[in-house]
Amino acid sequence: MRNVGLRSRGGWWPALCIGTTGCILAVYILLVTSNWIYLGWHDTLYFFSKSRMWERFWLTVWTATISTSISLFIGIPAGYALSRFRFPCRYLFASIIDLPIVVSPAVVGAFLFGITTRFPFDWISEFYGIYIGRNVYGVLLVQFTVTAAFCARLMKASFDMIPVRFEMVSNSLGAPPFRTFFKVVLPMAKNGIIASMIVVWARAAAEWEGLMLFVGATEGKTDIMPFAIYLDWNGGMMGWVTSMSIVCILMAVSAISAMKIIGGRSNVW
Amino acid sequence: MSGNGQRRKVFNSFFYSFAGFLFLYSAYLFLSNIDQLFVTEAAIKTREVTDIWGEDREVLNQFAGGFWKDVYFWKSLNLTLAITLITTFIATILGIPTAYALSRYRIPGKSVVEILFSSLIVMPGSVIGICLIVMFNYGPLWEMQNWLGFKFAHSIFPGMVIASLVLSFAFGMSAWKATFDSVNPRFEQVARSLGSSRWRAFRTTTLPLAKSGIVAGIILAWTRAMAEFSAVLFFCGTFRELPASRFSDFTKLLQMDQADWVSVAVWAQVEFGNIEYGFALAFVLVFIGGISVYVMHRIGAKGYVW
Amino acid sequence: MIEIKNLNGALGEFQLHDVNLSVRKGEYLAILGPTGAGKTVLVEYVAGIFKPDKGSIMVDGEDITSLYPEERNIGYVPQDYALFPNLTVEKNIAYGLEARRMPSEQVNAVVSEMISQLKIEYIRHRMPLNLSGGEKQRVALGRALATKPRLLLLDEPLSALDENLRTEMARELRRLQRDVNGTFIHVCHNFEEASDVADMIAIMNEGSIVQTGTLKQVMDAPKNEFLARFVKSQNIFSGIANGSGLKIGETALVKKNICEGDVIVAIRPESIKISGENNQKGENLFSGTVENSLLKPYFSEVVVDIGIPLIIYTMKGETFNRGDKVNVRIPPEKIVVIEKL
Repeated sequence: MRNVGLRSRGGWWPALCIGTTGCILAVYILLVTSNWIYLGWHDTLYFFSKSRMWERFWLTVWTATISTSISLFIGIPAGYALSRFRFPCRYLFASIIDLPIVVSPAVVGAFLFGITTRFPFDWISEFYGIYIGRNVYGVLLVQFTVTAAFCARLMKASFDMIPVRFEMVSNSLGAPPFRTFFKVVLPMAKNGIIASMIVVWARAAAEWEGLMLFVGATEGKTDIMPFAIYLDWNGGMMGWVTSMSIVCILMAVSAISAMKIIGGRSNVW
Repeated sequence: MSGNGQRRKVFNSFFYSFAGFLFLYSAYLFLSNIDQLFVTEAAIKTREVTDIWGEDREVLNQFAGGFWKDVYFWKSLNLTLAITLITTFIATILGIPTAYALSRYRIPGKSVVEILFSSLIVMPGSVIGICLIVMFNYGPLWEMQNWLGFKFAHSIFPGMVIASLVLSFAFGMSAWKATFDSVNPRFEQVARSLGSSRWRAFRTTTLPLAKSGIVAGIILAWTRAMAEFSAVLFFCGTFRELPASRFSDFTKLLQMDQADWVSVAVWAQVEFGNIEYGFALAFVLVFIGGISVYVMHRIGAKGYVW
Repeated sequence: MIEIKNLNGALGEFQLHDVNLSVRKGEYLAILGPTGAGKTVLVEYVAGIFKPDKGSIMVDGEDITSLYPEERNIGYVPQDYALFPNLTVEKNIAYGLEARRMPSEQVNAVVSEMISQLKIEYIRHRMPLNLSGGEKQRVALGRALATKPRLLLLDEPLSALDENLRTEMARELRRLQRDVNGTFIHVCHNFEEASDVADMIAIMNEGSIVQTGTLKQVMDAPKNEFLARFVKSQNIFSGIANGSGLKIGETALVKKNICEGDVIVAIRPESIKISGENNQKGENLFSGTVENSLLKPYFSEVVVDIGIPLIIYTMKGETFNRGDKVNVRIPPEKIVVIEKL
């Protein structure tokens, strides 16, 4: 009875798991570095030295920053509301809010294309003379649409990790709710918020399908990096395409690394 | 005390309003476009002039481009659903062992792996598409494809499967890893001390406890595969305009010839002027996505960010 | 039966340094120590859950250091019992037997026997979620013992139980060990619990074993100040010895054949004789005043000042009140002298 069926050295399960992981990893690493392998060090430097590359990079960076700021402004309170408040049909509510980030961004672009010709956008165009459409404002709108809900989700996750007890204690000590929020909740959520902010920024900088359908391409004005990759690829300029891909990959990786360093364990990934 | 009650009301409504704004924005975005499904005079006139795919103009001039009558609509849907099911299946088979390994075992460079997968999730779709193209058309894999006599790019199998697999796998794996992280490793340790092999310990203790998380991950992987656009566009392109001879008999048998991936079809149709038809396809996608999200929320999937 | 030699390893912040231990067959060993001493680490190494950095573990002459847990046939009951939440009590107990591919009639027989031995028939078909602490513990024991392991490891099995339940369960564990004639290693962090169950005691501190022995040995002869405090000697002082006596402050005590120099003195509270009358004979007689008197459940705790404060446990019928004058005798053989290193 003692030794029946006990000699099971190692087994195949751990080998399968680790083997699969190794293979997958190799494939994904090849995927990500293939651009660089194709292009080679010398050519990469050549493209990096062109100002055309950096104009697009700068456009991507500043549009992403602005739309991230707007998203944060809306996303932080919305995330807090989603986290703390219980109200009927909140699943339906949350599902509708999530919709823009679940469906393909191309679909979102198509829909935005539809609404910009009517209220309230035509009203804004008339009164303020700002036309939101095939220009930078359109870019900002698209980025905002896909990142606002994403931001709210991430903020909700950050706030979920702070126990409600702290707010209860703060209230019992006499602090009004706003004070509690700004002095207790927000500082505790600081790391999570900063980490989420970086991820939201990276997502904004990566948005292009919506632009393709809605904004169209105006050289120098609306062709942020991912969009420019598409345009150049249509034009067959493989060198530009691969070097810009490398820049995008580096942007994404550095953003995620920064997030990991700042956020530590307090994030959703 | 009424002062405090007032303040709390103001506080609550302040925050509610932001969430409400997002809700209204999203609802408006989708609902107000319903009228795009209706055909306008201008659209009919445009269609008189152009003739892209020789489609039936009578049908197109109906509500929503009469999409349910169009055989290519059903073929697209068929194609997309079939491919995404295959992709989800592959992602699950590969993803669960990988997630388990990353969760339980000490693998050197684990943080590199996490950074890699998280970066893929925020990377632009066009970059992933380009990476796929470069990887398959220019590297050592090009030789392998020549040897196999078969090109991966611009194909349905395995091209579309691979394109949708990249991100579907990444999303699913992070969900499954979170699930395994949440199950106490003690159970497997005790099971092993009682004489179970590692596989049996996993199967009888961790797996039953991880059931709902695994299902959530599968739904997540499938939803992401359905929402894939850029990778498929770059790696496979469009099939709608290709002549029937380009497709194998097998593909025709499966009713997948001359059809596009649904998200790509949305873009293609809107781009070439069939706005009502394109929007109808878009609404189909929104509907499918909406149901997925709702189910995910109901299951109580925690912290799965899209 | 079990020989642990030079075990070294680190798990997170907990470490083991050169642990040596032997356990005889049929023995009930209690491993004691404060939190962070490394008791759980030791148990996890023996169970096979983690691999030590250095050292060897031999069971019945067989080196099991590099075997996986499923090959060791050592039962393990973790602190939170870890009953499989998706299986009933019956299935939990049957788990190890099914892992060994026993035929199902045999499995049922063994499980039924285990259930009746542990008196948990009434919860046979329940799920672990709804069980009380004591019931969970019994199921966990049943599960581990059903496979007749050659050694059973219990990691703080009584810590999660209510006070009143603890002594009862401790007695049950003792009885169980005798009935199955097994070798048990029981980890706990307090002394009373160990005294309820164990034949032998090993005390750990900061990753190594500092003393082993029977209960009486450890209590009567702690090897250093930490141990004296741990076994609740209560009267612990610094003093100076000179070969045939010692001085604690101004108080002089007689004890033959001891070392010279700085020492730690420990005197167990129950070994000091106290009396209101002046009728004691022998060495180390003192008179003093009662500073405090507490009536505890089984004895009285009296604090007497004879120049140094002495805590005395007495079971006598005599009650002592604050301010009473009493006579105290400290038998020299009960004084523990520990050289200060």
